[in-house]
Amino acid sequence: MLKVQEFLKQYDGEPMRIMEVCGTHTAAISHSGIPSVISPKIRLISGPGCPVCVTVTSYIDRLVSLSMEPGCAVVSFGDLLRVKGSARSLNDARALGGQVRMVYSPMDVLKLAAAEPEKTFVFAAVGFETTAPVYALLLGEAVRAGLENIRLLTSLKTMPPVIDWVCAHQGGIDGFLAPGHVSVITGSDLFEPLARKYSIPFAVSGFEPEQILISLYALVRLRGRGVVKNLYPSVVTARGNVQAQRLVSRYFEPCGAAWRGMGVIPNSGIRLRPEFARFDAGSAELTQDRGFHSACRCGQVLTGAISPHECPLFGRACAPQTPQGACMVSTEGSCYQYYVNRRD
Amino acid sequence: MCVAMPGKVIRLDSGVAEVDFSGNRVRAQAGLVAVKPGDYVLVHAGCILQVISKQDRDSLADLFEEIEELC
Ligand code: SF4
Repeated sequence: MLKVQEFLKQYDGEPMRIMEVCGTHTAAISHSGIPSVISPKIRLISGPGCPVCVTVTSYIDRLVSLSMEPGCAVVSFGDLLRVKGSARSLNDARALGGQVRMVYSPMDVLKLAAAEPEKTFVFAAVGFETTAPVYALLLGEAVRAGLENIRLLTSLKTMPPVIDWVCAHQGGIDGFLAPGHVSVITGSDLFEPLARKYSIPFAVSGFEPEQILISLYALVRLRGRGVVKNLYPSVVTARGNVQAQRLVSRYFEPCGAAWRGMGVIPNSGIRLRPEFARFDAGSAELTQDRGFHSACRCGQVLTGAISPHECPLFGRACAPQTPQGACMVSTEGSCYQYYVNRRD
Repeated sequence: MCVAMPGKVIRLDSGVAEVDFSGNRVRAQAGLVAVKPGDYVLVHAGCILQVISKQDRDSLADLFEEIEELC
């Protein structure tokens, strides 16, 4: 391991930009202080892998209005509650009498729905390939239990198309730390076509500092080569969790999806299949993306075009207590992580 | 939403597992993969995503060798 650390510290070759795609990696890198122990010629940038951050404003607006409808309650993960739509967040809506419940798992909605059958519970179903199987489990249980008062408002996204978008539109990335938990479900083979298309190496990495360092080492050594290296073999396989993939495709089908700051990317999301449309809370056409604060640059932060420090509001008007954009709200958001860990 | 660290399955009861994270116990759905008590697992949004095969498969020395072979 010493060899790896020395190599990364002494590296004096061509400058490299390595993107960590997943929000949990962003958090792990920021906590561990890795950027300060590697050569300044290896620049780590954060990507679009925080599900709360990439959600567009019209999706939040729709949740806010659902929370105000009589007989309806919105159920959500905590991080989403503080994200502003074009005017309000779910927390603001709650203060105005809106019905909003916070849960840790989508499965918690089953109990809520069973206890209050006269009320409709709308789950704010955000997430990537990792979370989609959990929603599929939830739907399976709802069907089995005959619960007709559960709906999903979906903003579910898939990783390869957005990585493709970043490479095609942004460019300048020499290696990807592939999202670890997404890979657990999808398998590491998912990234092979992208690696080959752009001749960029991908390393599937665990979340311990040593695991991240060895992945960075691999990416630097493999620069310019379109290969995928699975460096998290205890949980990631080439084909992933096939049972979970099958469950997802039973309930969901591919669709275009709107990403904050990137617009609609074809085939970059999933939605409920027509035969399960009765569980949908009006997820289609939620593509409007007008930031709450006009100077917020979340879109550029999410694609690695700028570092959070380059946003004029970072650390001034925008801080964790006064977030002006989604990237400062979520604990997996780049702006939040750069702020609380004083990352450069 | 992700818990990056593995937890240990303590018991299993009608598809719901009790998982121990260094003394912190949580309940997690076990519908995405077959698990049994004693397994180390990865949990996300209240569900078990995967069983960790053998932690020693992530041995850094072995991974380093594999990278060297590729380069
Ligand atoms: S610092 Fe705040 S305002 Fe600026 S991009 Fe990040 S979240 Fe948006």
